[in-house]
Amino acid sequence: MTPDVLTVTEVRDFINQTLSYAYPQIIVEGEIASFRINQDKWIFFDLKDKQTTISCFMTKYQLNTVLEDGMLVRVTATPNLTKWGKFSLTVKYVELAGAGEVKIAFEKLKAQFEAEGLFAIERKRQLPEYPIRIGLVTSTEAAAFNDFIKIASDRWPLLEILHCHVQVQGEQAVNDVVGAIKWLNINHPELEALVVIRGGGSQEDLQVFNTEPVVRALYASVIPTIVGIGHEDDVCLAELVADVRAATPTDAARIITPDKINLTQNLAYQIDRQTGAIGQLLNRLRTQISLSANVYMALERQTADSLANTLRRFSKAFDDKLNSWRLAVNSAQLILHGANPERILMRGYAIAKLNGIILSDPTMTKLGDNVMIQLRKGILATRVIAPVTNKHTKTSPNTVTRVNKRVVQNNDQSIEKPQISIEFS
Amino acid sequence: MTNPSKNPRSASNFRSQLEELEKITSVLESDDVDLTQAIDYFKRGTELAASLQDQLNQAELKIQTIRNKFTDSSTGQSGISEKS
Repeated sequence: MTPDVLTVTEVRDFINQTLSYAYPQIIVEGEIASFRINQDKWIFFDLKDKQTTISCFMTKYQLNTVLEDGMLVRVTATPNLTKWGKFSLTVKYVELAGAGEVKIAFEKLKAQFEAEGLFAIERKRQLPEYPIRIGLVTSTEAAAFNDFIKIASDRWPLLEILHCHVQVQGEQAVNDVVGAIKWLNINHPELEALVVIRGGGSQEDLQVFNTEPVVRALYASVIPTIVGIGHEDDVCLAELVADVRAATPTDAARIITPDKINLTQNLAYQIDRQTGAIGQLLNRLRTQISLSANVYMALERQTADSLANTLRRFSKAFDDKLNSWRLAVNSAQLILHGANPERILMRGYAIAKLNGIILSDPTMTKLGDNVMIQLRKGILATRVIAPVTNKHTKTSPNTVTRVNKRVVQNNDQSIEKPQISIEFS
Repeated sequence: MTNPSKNPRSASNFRSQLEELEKITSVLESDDVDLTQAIDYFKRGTELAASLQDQLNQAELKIQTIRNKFTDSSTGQSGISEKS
Protein backbone atom coordinates (compact mmCIF):
# COMPACT_ATOMS: atom_id res chain seq x y z
CA MET A 1 0.00 0.00 0.00
CA THR A 2 1.38 3.27 -1.03
CA PRO A 3 0.58 5.83 1.56
CA ASP A 4 -1.69 8.76 0.47
CA VAL A 5 0.28 11.61 -0.92
CA LEU A 6 -1.01 14.97 0.23
CA THR A 7 -0.47 18.34 -1.26
CA VAL A 8 1.08 21.00 0.91
CA THR A 9 -2.23 22.77 1.17
CA GLU A 10 -3.94 19.54 2.10
CA VAL A 11 -1.43 19.07 4.88
CA ARG A 12 -2.15 22.58 6.11
CA ASP A 13 -5.89 22.07 5.93
CA PHE A 14 -5.55 18.75 7.73
CA ILE A 15 -3.51 20.27 10.52
CA ASN A 16 -5.86 23.21 10.86
CA GLN A 17 -8.86 20.92 11.06
CA THR A 18 -7.11 18.82 13.69
CA LEU A 19 -6.16 21.91 15.65
CA SER A 20 -9.62 23.39 15.50
CA TYR A 21 -11.06 20.13 16.62
CA ALA A 22 -8.64 19.76 19.48
CA TYR A 23 -8.48 23.45 20.41
CA PRO A 24 -11.51 25.22 19.05
CA GLN A 25 -10.65 28.17 21.24
CA ILE A 26 -7.76 28.74 23.60
CA ILE A 27 -6.99 31.50 26.04
CA VAL A 28 -3.37 32.44 26.21
CA GLU A 29 -1.65 34.92 28.46
CA GLY A 30 1.57 36.57 27.40
CA GLU A 31 3.44 39.77 26.75
CA ILE A 32 2.96 41.81 23.60
CA ALA A 33 5.91 42.27 21.27
CA SER A 34 6.38 43.59 17.75
CA PHE A 35 2.93 45.20 17.72
CA ARG A 36 2.03 46.71 14.37
CA ILE A 37 -1.00 47.68 12.31
CA ASN A 38 -1.03 47.17 8.54
CA GLN A 39 -3.23 49.23 6.24
CA ASP A 40 -5.07 50.51 9.29
CA LYS A 41 -6.91 47.19 9.23
CA TRP A 42 -4.74 44.21 10.11
CA ILE A 43 -3.02 43.83 13.46
CA PHE A 44 0.06 41.70 13.97
CA PHE A 45 1.90 41.12 17.21
CA ASP A 46 3.86 38.46 18.99
CA LEU A 47 2.80 36.92 22.26
CA LYS A 48 5.71 35.71 24.30
CA ASP A 49 6.89 34.52 27.61
CA LYS A 50 10.45 33.90 28.74
CA GLN A 51 10.93 30.91 26.46
CA THR A 52 8.50 31.02 23.60
CA THR A 53 7.17 33.47 21.07
CA ILE A 54 3.98 32.93 19.02
CA SER A 55 2.73 35.18 16.23
CA CYS A 56 -0.76 36.59 16.54
CA PHE A 57 -3.12 38.12 14.01
CA MET A 58 -6.43 39.98 14.36
CA THR A 59 -8.49 42.67 12.65
CA LYS A 60 -8.51 46.16 14.03
CA TYR A 61 -12.28 45.92 14.26
CA GLN A 62 -11.91 43.23 16.93
CA LEU A 63 -9.50 45.21 19.06
CA ASN A 64 -11.19 46.94 21.94
CA THR A 65 -8.22 48.18 23.89
CA VAL A 66 -4.98 49.92 23.44
CA LEU A 67 -2.11 47.55 22.87
CA GLU A 68 1.56 48.27 22.89
CA ASP A 69 4.73 46.28 23.31
CA GLY A 70 5.42 45.06 26.79
CA MET A 71 1.78 44.84 27.85
CA LEU A 72 0.56 41.70 29.55
CA VAL A 73 -2.55 40.48 27.79
CA ARG A 74 -4.91 37.57 27.74
CA VAL A 75 -6.07 36.63 24.25
CA THR A 76 -8.90 34.41 23.15
CA ALA A 77 -7.75 32.81 19.91
CA THR A 78 -7.80 29.91 17.49
CA PRO A 79 -4.50 28.21 16.55
CA ASN A 80 -3.81 28.27 12.88
CA LEU A 81 -1.17 27.23 10.36
CA THR A 82 -0.80 29.96 7.79
CA LYS A 83 -0.27 29.39 4.08
CA TRP A 84 3.32 30.44 4.60
CA GLY A 85 3.72 27.55 6.99
CA LYS A 86 3.95 29.62 10.07
CA PHE A 87 2.09 28.86 13.23
CA SER A 88 -0.11 31.70 14.37
CA LEU A 89 -2.93 32.50 16.71
CA THR A 90 -5.98 34.13 15.14
CA VAL A 91 -7.14 36.39 17.92
CA LYS A 92 -10.82 37.12 18.51
CA TYR A 93 -10.59 39.01 21.73
CA VAL A 94 -7.90 40.68 23.77
CA GLU A 95 -8.12 41.80 27.35
CA LEU A 96 -5.45 43.42 29.42
CA ALA A 97 -4.12 41.03 32.01
CA GLY A 98 -2.25 43.29 34.39
CA ALA A 99 -3.33 46.28 36.40
CA GLY A 100 -0.40 48.27 35.08
CA GLU A 101 -1.39 47.49 31.50
CA VAL A 102 -4.98 48.51 32.09
CA LYS A 103 -3.81 51.78 33.51
CA ILE A 104 -1.43 52.44 30.64
CA ALA A 105 -4.10 51.66 28.05
CA PHE A 106 -6.62 53.83 29.85
CA GLU A 107 -4.32 56.83 30.03
CA LYS A 108 -3.25 56.46 26.44
CA LEU A 109 -6.82 56.29 25.11
CA LYS A 110 -7.89 59.10 27.40
CA ALA A 111 -5.13 61.34 26.11
CA GLN A 112 -6.05 60.47 22.55
CA PHE A 113 -9.76 61.24 23.05
CA GLU A 114 -8.99 64.43 24.89
CA ALA A 115 -6.81 65.54 22.01
CA GLU A 116 -9.68 64.78 19.65
CA GLY A 117 -12.06 66.85 21.76
CA LEU A 118 -14.35 63.97 22.67
CA PHE A 119 -14.57 65.11 26.28
CA ALA A 120 -14.90 68.82 25.53
CA ILE A 121 -17.18 70.62 27.93
CA GLU A 122 -18.55 72.79 25.11
CA ARG A 123 -20.26 69.82 23.52
CA LYS A 124 -22.00 68.64 26.68
CA ARG A 125 -25.77 68.76 26.32
CA GLN A 126 -28.27 69.29 29.09
CA LEU A 127 -30.62 66.55 30.17
CA PRO A 128 -34.35 67.27 30.31
CA GLU A 129 -35.66 68.46 33.65
CA TYR A 130 -38.79 66.34 33.40
CA PRO A 131 -37.99 63.48 30.99
CA ILE A 132 -40.85 61.70 29.27
CA ARG A 133 -39.17 58.73 27.62
CA ILE A 134 -35.59 57.60 28.02
CA GLY A 135 -33.47 54.73 26.77
CA LEU A 136 -31.63 52.49 29.20
CA VAL A 137 -28.69 50.29 28.21
CA THR A 138 -27.68 47.68 30.77
CA SER A 139 -28.13 44.07 31.69
CA THR A 140 -31.44 42.94 33.12
CA GLU A 141 -29.53 40.64 35.43
CA ALA A 142 -27.42 43.42 36.93
CA ALA A 143 -28.24 44.80 40.35
CA ALA A 144 -27.68 48.21 38.80
CA PHE A 145 -30.78 47.71 36.65
CA ASN A 146 -33.04 47.00 39.62
CA ASP A 147 -31.52 49.85 41.62
CA PHE A 148 -32.08 52.24 38.74
CA ILE A 149 -35.70 51.18 38.23
CA LYS A 150 -36.46 51.37 41.94
CA ILE A 151 -35.09 54.90 42.31
CA ALA A 152 -36.62 56.15 39.07
CA SER A 153 -39.98 54.70 40.05
CA ASP A 154 -39.89 56.31 43.48
CA ARG A 155 -38.77 59.68 42.21
CA TRP A 156 -40.46 60.11 38.84
CA PRO A 157 -43.14 57.48 38.25
CA LEU A 158 -44.41 59.19 35.12
CA LEU A 159 -41.24 58.11 33.31
CA GLU A 160 -41.31 55.62 30.44
CA ILE A 161 -38.19 53.55 29.90
CA LEU A 162 -37.14 51.77 26.75
CA HIS A 163 -34.62 49.27 28.03
CA CYS A 164 -32.08 47.46 25.87
CA HIS A 165 -30.84 44.35 27.57
CA VAL A 166 -27.10 43.91 26.85
CA GLN A 167 -24.14 42.00 28.19
CA VAL A 168 -22.04 44.41 30.22
CA GLN A 169 -18.93 42.25 30.48
CA GLY A 170 -17.21 39.58 28.49
CA GLU A 171 -16.51 39.04 24.87
CA GLN A 172 -19.92 40.11 23.59
CA ALA A 173 -20.30 43.15 25.78
CA VAL A 174 -18.65 45.80 23.60
CA ASN A 175 -20.66 44.81 20.54
CA ASP A 176 -23.83 44.65 22.58
CA VAL A 177 -23.40 48.04 24.18
CA VAL A 178 -22.34 49.73 20.94
CA GLY A 179 -25.18 47.99 19.06
CA ALA A 180 -27.79 49.06 21.61
CA ILE A 181 -26.62 52.68 21.57
CA LYS A 182 -26.77 52.75 17.79
CA TRP A 183 -30.11 50.89 17.68
CA LEU A 184 -31.75 53.37 20.03
CA ASN A 185 -30.35 56.31 18.07
CA ILE A 186 -31.60 54.92 14.78
CA ASN A 187 -34.98 53.61 15.89
CA HIS A 188 -35.86 55.95 18.73
CA PRO A 189 -34.15 59.29 18.20
CA GLU A 190 -37.10 60.91 19.98
CA LEU A 191 -35.81 59.62 23.33
CA GLU A 192 -34.85 62.48 25.61
CA ALA A 193 -31.92 60.74 27.26
CA LEU A 194 -29.86 57.62 26.89
CA VAL A 195 -28.69 56.04 30.11
CA VAL A 196 -25.82 53.54 30.17
CA ILE A 197 -25.15 51.91 33.52
CA ARG A 198 -23.25 49.04 35.02
CA GLY A 199 -22.67 48.09 38.61
CA GLY A 200 -19.34 47.74 40.35
CA GLY A 201 -16.78 45.12 39.31
CA SER A 202 -13.13 44.48 38.79
CA GLN A 203 -11.07 46.74 36.55
CA GLU A 204 -11.24 44.07 33.89
CA ASP A 205 -15.02 43.84 34.19
CA LEU A 206 -15.34 47.56 33.61
CA GLN A 207 -13.02 47.57 30.59
CA VAL A 208 -15.96 47.44 28.20
CA PHE A 209 -16.67 51.05 29.09
CA ASN A 210 -13.09 52.09 28.39
CA THR A 211 -13.09 50.74 24.86
CA GLU A 212 -12.91 52.92 21.83
CA PRO A 213 -16.07 51.61 20.11
CA VAL A 214 -18.22 52.30 23.18
CA VAL A 215 -16.69 55.75 23.64
CA ARG A 216 -17.22 56.64 19.97
CA ALA A 217 -20.77 55.29 19.93
CA LEU A 218 -21.62 57.50 22.90
CA TYR A 219 -19.86 60.43 21.27
CA ALA A 220 -21.95 59.93 18.12
CA SER A 221 -25.25 59.62 19.98
CA VAL A 222 -27.85 62.15 18.88
CA ILE A 223 -29.69 61.40 22.10
CA PRO A 224 -28.12 63.12 25.14
CA THR A 225 -26.24 60.57 27.20
CA ILE A 226 -25.67 59.88 30.87
CA VAL A 227 -23.29 57.14 31.94
CA GLY A 228 -22.77 55.69 35.41
CA ILE A 229 -20.33 52.80 35.65
CA GLY A 230 -19.06 50.96 38.73
CA HIS A 231 -18.48 52.62 42.06
CA GLU A 232 -17.86 56.24 42.79
CA ASP A 233 -14.09 55.94 42.50
CA ASP A 234 -14.23 54.24 39.12
CA VAL A 235 -13.76 56.58 36.21
CA CYS A 236 -14.50 55.20 32.76
CA LEU A 237 -13.89 56.84 29.42
CA ALA A 238 -17.55 56.23 28.63
CA GLU A 239 -18.45 58.45 31.58
CA LEU A 240 -16.06 61.16 30.41
CA VAL A 241 -17.49 61.24 26.89
CA ALA A 242 -21.10 61.25 28.09
CA ASP A 243 -23.02 64.50 28.30
CA VAL A 244 -23.46 63.88 32.00
CA ARG A 245 -21.26 61.71 34.15
CA ALA A 246 -22.91 59.84 37.00
CA ALA A 247 -20.75 58.42 39.76
CA THR A 248 -22.83 55.25 40.04
CA PRO A 249 -25.96 53.72 38.46
CA THR A 250 -28.11 54.97 41.33
CA ASP A 251 -26.58 58.41 40.90
CA ALA A 252 -27.59 58.24 37.24
CA ALA A 253 -31.16 57.46 38.32
CA ARG A 254 -31.18 60.46 40.64
CA ILE A 255 -29.72 62.78 38.02
CA ILE A 256 -32.10 61.80 35.22
CA THR A 257 -35.26 61.95 37.33
CA PRO A 258 -36.80 64.88 39.17
CA ASP A 259 -37.79 64.08 42.74
CA LYS A 260 -41.49 63.55 43.34
CA ILE A 261 -41.15 65.08 46.82
CA ASN A 262 -39.43 68.16 45.43
CA LEU A 263 -42.12 68.37 42.75
CA THR A 264 -44.84 68.21 45.37
CA GLN A 265 -43.03 70.96 47.27
CA ASN A 266 -42.71 72.92 44.04
CA LEU A 267 -46.47 72.65 43.45
CA ALA A 268 -47.11 73.99 46.95
CA TYR A 269 -44.49 76.69 46.35
CA GLN A 270 -46.20 77.76 43.12
CA ILE A 271 -49.56 78.02 44.90
CA ASP A 272 -47.91 79.94 47.75
CA ARG A 273 -46.42 82.39 45.28
CA GLN A 274 -49.75 82.73 43.49
CA THR A 275 -51.54 83.34 46.79
CA GLY A 276 -48.90 85.93 47.71
CA ALA A 277 -49.29 87.58 44.31
CA ILE A 278 -53.07 87.78 44.75
CA GLY A 279 -52.51 89.27 48.23
CA GLN A 280 -50.14 91.87 46.83
CA LEU A 281 -52.59 92.65 44.04
CA LEU A 282 -55.33 93.17 46.61
CA ASN A 283 -53.04 95.42 48.64
CA ARG A 284 -52.22 97.41 45.52
CA LEU A 285 -55.90 97.78 44.74
CA ARG A 286 -56.63 98.73 48.35
CA THR A 287 -53.98 101.44 48.14
CA GLN A 288 -55.35 102.63 44.82
CA ILE A 289 -58.87 102.74 46.20
CA SER A 290 -57.60 104.63 49.25
CA LEU A 291 -55.76 107.11 47.03
CA SER A 292 -58.85 107.53 44.86
CA ALA A 293 -60.94 108.07 47.97
CA ASN A 294 -58.53 110.80 49.06
CA VAL A 295 -58.92 112.45 45.68
CA TYR A 296 -62.69 112.23 45.92
CA MET A 297 -62.62 113.58 49.46
CA ALA A 298 -60.46 116.48 48.34
CA LEU A 299 -62.89 117.11 45.51
CA GLU A 300 -65.73 116.88 47.96
CA ARG A 301 -64.01 119.40 50.24
CA GLN A 302 -63.52 121.74 47.33
CA THR A 303 -67.19 121.38 46.45
CA ALA A 304 -68.23 122.01 50.03
CA ASP A 305 -65.98 125.07 50.19
CA SER A 306 -67.41 126.30 46.95
CA LEU A 307 -70.94 125.75 48.22
CA ALA A 308 -70.21 127.60 51.46
CA ASN A 309 -68.73 130.46 49.46
CA THR A 310 -71.80 130.60 47.29
CA LEU A 311 -74.01 130.56 50.36
CA ARG A 312 -72.01 133.38 51.87
CA ARG A 313 -72.34 135.41 48.70
CA PHE A 314 -76.02 134.66 48.48
CA SER A 315 -76.51 135.56 52.13
CA LYS A 316 -74.72 138.86 51.68
CA ALA A 317 -76.71 139.65 48.57
CA PHE A 318 -79.86 138.77 50.45
CA ASP A 319 -78.88 140.96 53.39
CA ASP A 320 -78.11 143.84 51.06
CA LYS A 321 -81.44 143.42 49.43
CA LEU A 322 -83.13 143.19 52.79
CA ASN A 323 -81.47 146.42 53.90
CA SER A 324 -82.59 148.24 50.81
CA TRP A 325 -86.10 146.95 51.42
CA ARG A 326 -85.86 148.02 55.00
CA LEU A 327 -84.83 151.54 53.92
CA ALA A 328 -87.69 151.67 51.49
CA VAL A 329 -90.09 150.57 54.21
CA ASN A 330 -88.71 153.21 56.58
CA SER A 331 -89.16 155.97 54.09
CA ALA A 332 -92.62 154.65 53.32
CA GLN A 333 -93.32 154.63 57.04
CA LEU A 334 -92.15 158.22 57.26
CA ILE A 335 -94.46 159.19 54.47
CA LEU A 336 -97.30 157.31 56.05
CA HIS A 337 -96.50 158.83 59.38
CA GLY A 338 -96.83 162.28 57.89
CA ALA A 339 -100.28 161.39 56.56
CA ASN A 340 -101.55 160.03 59.88
CA PRO A 341 -104.99 161.64 60.83
CA GLU A 342 -103.82 161.81 64.43
CA ARG A 343 -101.13 164.14 63.28
CA ILE A 344 -103.82 166.35 61.76
CA LEU A 345 -105.79 166.26 64.99
CA MET A 346 -102.62 167.25 66.84
CA ARG A 347 -102.49 170.32 64.75
CA GLY A 348 -106.00 171.32 65.96
CA TYR A 349 -108.15 169.96 63.17
CA ALA A 350 -111.26 167.91 63.98
CA ILE A 351 -113.14 165.14 62.20
CA ALA A 352 -116.89 165.10 62.18
CA LYS A 353 -118.62 161.75 61.75
CA LEU A 354 -122.22 160.86 61.41
CA ASN A 355 -122.93 157.28 62.13
CA GLY A 356 -119.20 156.57 61.61
CA ILE A 357 -119.11 158.31 58.26
CA ILE A 358 -116.79 161.26 57.98
CA LEU A 359 -118.74 164.38 57.12
CA SER A 360 -117.47 166.51 54.33
CA ASP A 361 -120.67 168.35 53.46
CA PRO A 362 -123.25 169.93 55.80
CA THR A 363 -126.00 168.66 53.62
CA MET A 364 -125.12 165.15 54.66
CA THR A 365 -126.81 165.98 57.95
CA LYS A 366 -130.28 166.95 58.95
CA LEU A 367 -131.57 168.67 61.98
CA GLY A 368 -131.08 166.83 65.21
CA ASP A 369 -128.45 164.38 63.84
CA ASN A 370 -125.89 163.41 66.40
CA VAL A 371 -122.59 164.32 65.00
CA MET A 372 -119.46 162.98 66.68
CA ILE A 373 -116.50 165.35 66.57
CA GLN A 374 -113.12 163.75 66.91
CA LEU A 375 -110.74 166.12 68.64
CA ARG A 376 -107.13 165.63 69.62
CA LYS A 377 -107.94 164.64 73.13
CA GLY A 378 -111.33 163.04 72.75
CA ILE A 379 -114.70 162.90 71.04
CA LEU A 380 -117.23 165.64 71.28
CA ALA A 381 -120.83 164.58 70.86
CA THR A 382 -122.92 167.27 69.18
CA ARG A 383 -126.36 167.67 67.62
CA VAL A 384 -127.13 169.48 64.46
CA ILE A 385 -129.21 172.48 65.03
CA ALA A 386 -129.13 173.96 61.61
CA PRO A 387 -127.42 172.56 58.65
CA VAL A 388 -126.21 175.56 56.79
CA THR A 389 -124.18 176.20 53.78
CA ASN A 390 -121.67 179.03 53.29
CA LYS A 391 -123.23 179.75 49.99
CA HIS A 392 -123.08 183.44 50.59
CA THR A 393 -120.66 183.95 53.40
CA LYS A 394 -117.60 182.51 54.74
CA THR A 395 -118.04 179.93 57.30
CA SER A 396 -118.47 181.57 60.65
CA PRO A 397 -118.81 178.90 63.26
CA ASN A 398 -119.70 181.55 65.83
CA THR A 399 -122.79 182.33 64.04
CA VAL A 400 -124.07 178.86 63.39
CA THR A 401 -123.38 177.00 66.56
CA ARG A 402 -124.82 177.54 69.89
CA VAL A 403 -121.59 176.94 71.56
CA ASN A 404 -119.91 179.30 69.15
CA LYS A 405 -117.34 176.76 68.79
CA ARG A 406 -115.80 176.15 65.47
CA VAL A 407 -115.82 172.50 64.82
CA VAL A 408 -114.90 172.45 61.22
CA GLN A 409 -112.42 174.50 59.44
CA ASN A 410 -112.32 174.43 55.79
CA ASN A 411 -109.30 176.09 54.37
CA ASP A 412 -110.62 176.01 50.89
CA GLN A 413 -112.55 179.32 51.15
CA SER A 414 -113.07 179.65 47.47
CA ILE A 415 -115.32 176.65 47.20
CA GLU A 416 -118.81 177.07 48.35
CA LYS A 417 -119.64 174.23 50.64
CA PRO A 418 -122.65 173.51 52.90
CA GLN A 419 -122.10 174.33 56.56
CA ILE A 420 -123.61 172.68 59.54
CA SER A 421 -124.59 174.15 62.84
CA ILE A 422 -124.34 171.86 65.74
CA GLU A 423 -125.05 171.98 69.40
CA PHE A 424 -123.43 170.01 72.12
CA SER A 425 -125.58 167.37 73.67
CA MET B 1 -49.10 45.48 31.44
CA THR B 2 -49.12 48.80 29.68
CA ASN B 3 -47.52 49.53 26.39
CA PRO B 4 -45.83 52.90 26.71
CA SER B 5 -46.67 53.73 23.11
CA LYS B 6 -50.39 53.53 23.91
CA ASN B 7 -50.12 56.12 26.64
CA PRO B 8 -46.97 57.96 25.72
CA ARG B 9 -47.88 61.45 26.84
CA SER B 10 -48.58 61.21 30.55
CA ALA B 11 -45.25 62.77 31.47
CA SER B 12 -45.61 65.16 28.56
CA ASN B 13 -49.00 66.19 29.87
CA PHE B 14 -47.50 66.63 33.32
CA ARG B 15 -44.69 68.75 31.93
CA SER B 16 -47.01 71.01 29.93
CA GLN B 17 -49.31 71.44 32.91
CA LEU B 18 -46.38 72.22 35.18
CA GLU B 19 -45.13 74.76 32.66
CA GLU B 20 -48.59 76.32 32.57
CA LEU B 21 -48.68 76.45 36.38
CA GLU B 22 -45.28 78.15 36.51
CA LYS B 23 -46.35 80.57 33.78
CA ILE B 24 -49.47 81.47 35.74
CA THR B 25 -47.27 82.18 38.77
CA SER B 26 -45.14 84.52 36.65
CA VAL B 27 -48.19 86.28 35.20
CA LEU B 28 -49.71 86.74 38.65
CA GLU B 29 -46.43 88.12 39.94
CA SER B 30 -46.31 90.65 37.12
CA ASP B 31 -48.25 93.88 37.39
CA ASP B 32 -50.11 93.34 34.13
CA VAL B 33 -53.12 91.57 35.48
CA ASP B 34 -56.38 92.92 36.81
CA LEU B 35 -58.28 91.40 39.70
CA THR B 36 -60.83 89.50 37.60
CA GLN B 37 -58.12 87.94 35.46
CA ALA B 38 -56.04 87.22 38.53
CA ILE B 39 -58.85 85.32 40.18
CA ASP B 40 -59.41 83.27 37.00
CA TYR B 41 -55.68 82.54 36.79
CA PHE B 42 -55.51 81.61 40.44
CA LYS B 43 -58.45 79.23 40.02
CA ARG B 44 -56.73 77.60 37.05
CA GLY B 45 -53.46 77.42 39.01
CA THR B 46 -55.00 75.57 41.93
CA GLU B 47 -56.75 73.17 39.52
CA LEU B 48 -53.46 72.49 37.78
CA ALA B 49 -51.60 71.92 41.04
CA ALA B 50 -54.26 69.46 42.19
CA SER B 51 -54.19 67.65 38.84
CA LEU B 52 -50.40 67.43 38.88
CA GLN B 53 -50.40 66.10 42.41
CA ASP B 54 -52.95 63.43 41.40
CA GLN B 55 -50.82 62.42 38.44
CA LEU B 56 -47.76 62.10 40.66
CA ASN B 57 -49.65 60.03 43.18
CA GLN B 58 -51.22 57.69 40.66
CA ALA B 59 -48.43 57.25 38.11
CA GLU B 60 -46.51 54.01 37.66
CA LEU B 61 -43.19 53.68 35.92
CA LYS B 62 -43.42 51.97 32.55
CA ILE B 63 -40.64 49.79 31.19
CA GLN B 64 -40.28 48.13 27.83
CA THR B 65 -37.35 45.76 27.55
CA ILE B 66 -35.81 44.84 24.21
CA ARG B 67 -33.71 41.72 23.95
CA ASN B 68 -32.05 42.01 20.60
CA LYS B 69 -28.78 40.94 19.20
CA PHE B 70 -27.62 44.47 18.75
CA THR B 71 -24.74 43.63 16.46
CA ASP B 72 -26.81 44.78 13.48
CA SER B 73 -28.16 48.07 14.62
CA SER B 74 -30.43 48.57 11.62
CA THR B 75 -32.76 45.71 12.48
CA GLY B 76 -35.14 45.53 15.37
CA GLN B 77 -35.54 41.86 16.20
CA SER B 78 -38.21 40.34 18.36
CA GLY B 79 -37.78 39.64 22.02
CA ILE B 80 -39.57 42.64 23.47
CA SER B 81 -40.97 42.33 26.93
CA GLU B 82 -42.79 44.93 28.97
CA LYS B 83 -43.67 45.56 32.52
CA SER B 84 -44.90 48.43 34.49
